[in-house]
Amino acid sequence: MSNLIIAGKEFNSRLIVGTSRYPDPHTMMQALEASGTDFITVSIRRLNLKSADGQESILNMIDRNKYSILPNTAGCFTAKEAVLTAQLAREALETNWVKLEVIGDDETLFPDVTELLKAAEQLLADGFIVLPYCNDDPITCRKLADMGCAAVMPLGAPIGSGMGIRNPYNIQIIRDLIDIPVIVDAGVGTASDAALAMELGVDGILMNTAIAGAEHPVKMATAMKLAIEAGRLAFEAGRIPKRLYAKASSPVEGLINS
Amino acid sequence: MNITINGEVVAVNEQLKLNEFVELRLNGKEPRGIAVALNEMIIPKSKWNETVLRENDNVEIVHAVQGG
Repeated sequence: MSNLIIAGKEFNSRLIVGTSRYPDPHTMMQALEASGTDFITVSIRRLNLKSADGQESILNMIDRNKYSILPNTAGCFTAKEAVLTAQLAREALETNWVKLEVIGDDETLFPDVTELLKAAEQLLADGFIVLPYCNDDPITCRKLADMGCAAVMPLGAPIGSGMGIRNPYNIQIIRDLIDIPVIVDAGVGTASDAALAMELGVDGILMNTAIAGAEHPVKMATAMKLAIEAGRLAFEAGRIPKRLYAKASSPVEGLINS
Repeated sequence: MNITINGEVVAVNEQLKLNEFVELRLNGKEPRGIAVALNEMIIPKSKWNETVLRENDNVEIVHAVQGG
């Protein structure tokens, strides 16, 4: 099976995993291990200066020799906020990679396309490797690719919804139109969703809630690893065409009554 | 003078530089894995000691946490 390459960097897994919402850090570490990922997302938030009970730095949990870190701009509603957040991430983590999220509203968490395109343009000009979270809209994806983004990351379904790949036809069109890596980001609920996306030919999947929110996150991480490998292998193997009618798999010659 | 730090207003001495202010707020913690914005502009670590704070400046000190 071929490896995932984004912006010239080769990864050992086609699964990118979020680090949020696990029952506890120990489970997160075990789930990351089980998933086989070597690329994880993090967020940028205020340091709690008053007490020790603020959110702990991810750098205290993660071995950066083992995992590449992809900071996100989650929670940003404007290009301005997203650009500043990306710049802060670059300073704090010494990486110019960013998962660019510019959200339109709190309820759907759908991307705000105008602000997303604006932010992508500014960050690319500022030397960032931009991986934008976007709608499953082929035209937006093509614009982001033409601008110079390193990958496009269309959603399968709303963030955290677990609804799966709601528009596989658009994902397929995006795959056909775009030459850079396509990563399905958000919406995956269970292993079959991940396998389906991979069978469509996308290069990888980014997920968080599907693993972190499962009853057994470590088991689900293993399931996702296997599903993504299976889906990719099936894509590379080239599936048979679908037919409405049967086609005998056993030889039709030499039957005893002929 | 008053400075807003991560949404909270604090009183500090005049002519305080950003590196001194950050050191004060971190209270002995190592400034590893953090970044600072002043009035919604990033200030790289290398510029902290040449940045003098002014009345009503808005400082954000951030770090990376678990996220999706």
